[in-house]
This record gives sequence, structure tokens and C-alpha cells, in this order.
Amino acid sequence: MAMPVIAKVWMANPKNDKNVVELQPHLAPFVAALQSRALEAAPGRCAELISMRVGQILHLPSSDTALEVAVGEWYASPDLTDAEKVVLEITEQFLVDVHGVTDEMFAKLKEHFTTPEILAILFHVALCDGFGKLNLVTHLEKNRGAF
Amino acid sequence: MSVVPRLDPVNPTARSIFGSILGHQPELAVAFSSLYAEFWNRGVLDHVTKETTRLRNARITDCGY
Repeated sequence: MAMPVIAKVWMANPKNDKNVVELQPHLAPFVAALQSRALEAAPGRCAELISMRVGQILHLPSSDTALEVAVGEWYASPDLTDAEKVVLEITEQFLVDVHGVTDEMFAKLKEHFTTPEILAILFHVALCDGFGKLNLVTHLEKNRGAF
Repeated sequence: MSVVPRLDPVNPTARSIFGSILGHQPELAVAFSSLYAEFWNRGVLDHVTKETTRLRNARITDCGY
């Protein structure tokens, strides 16, 4: 199967996907395509914010940018919208104890996002969680999760 | 914890399962399915090992699949 164009673009960035390529080269283009789609589909800054929060929870290296600090203190930050705070709340619960995600959290998500957007947000959380942990346990390149 | 599906499928007559929910993001569904197919059909691991890890993962996370 030919590599999708979007995957080629994504993988051209040296920060992206080196880990998976080294581990299982045959999976790399498919992983890249999926990650690219999830990135594109997530609304607004959600993908960036989710990646940051997942990285913080997994203790991956972080920067000291104002946004990174805001994400670390999302519940009290004036720099994040209510919608973004809902996304970070569910991201945090997803990682710490997924069974603790509640109907109330979903209701809040639905106040701000459409069903396709919610699906994209959750996909992005799941990918960051999975690939972040993959990087962590294999002690591979210590970049920000999978993104 | 509630067991009522939290997301509705695109087709209102369909059950709310993973596949029907993915209909809200067709391109994401294609990308996911392609990766999933590649994962199961190729690679250095035998199917028994793949299925064993999948089952253990599902047990731990209380996943119905």
C-alpha cells in the first residue's frame, strides 16, 4: 500500500514518529496517517492542549511556555476557555482512571462540542496516551508523547 | 457508573458501538481501520501473542471487545 500523502508530510518532520518507525517500520505510515487525521479533526487548540497535559501527567519533558504552565494549572487558568478546561478535565481523568469519566463530564463536553468533535478529541487523547506510554516504557526518544 | 451510550451513532437506527460511532469521522475511521488491519495482518508477532495481549488489555480495562 502506498503511503498517504498526508503521512509523508507528517513524517517529514524529524520530530514525528521516529520511534514507531524504528520499532515497526511497516506500521509507521498507518500510524502517521491516523495521528495526522486526529490532529486535523480536533477543534481549535484542543490537540495541542491534550498533548501538553498528557505529557505532563506521564512526566515527559516539557517546556516553560506560558501555555504549558496554563495547561498544568488548567482548573484555575484565565488563559483557557471553559470548553478547553472541559477537554483537559476529561483528558486528565482518561489517563488517571478511565472508569472515573462521568456522564457529567460528557454532558459538559456536549455543551461545547459536536459529536464529531468529541470523537476527534477522545481519539487524540487515546493516541497521546497510548503512544506517550509507548515512548515512556521503551525509553525511546523523549519528545512530547506521540505528537 | 452509567452504561448508557454517551455518543449517538450517525444512523439513529444503529446500535451505539465503536464502529457506528466512528461514522461521525469517516476519514478517522479509515485511518484507524487501516492501521488496525496492518497491525493484525503483518508484523513480527504471531497471532496468539497479539490476541493474548489484546484479551489481557480488555480484561484490565473492562472493555467489552
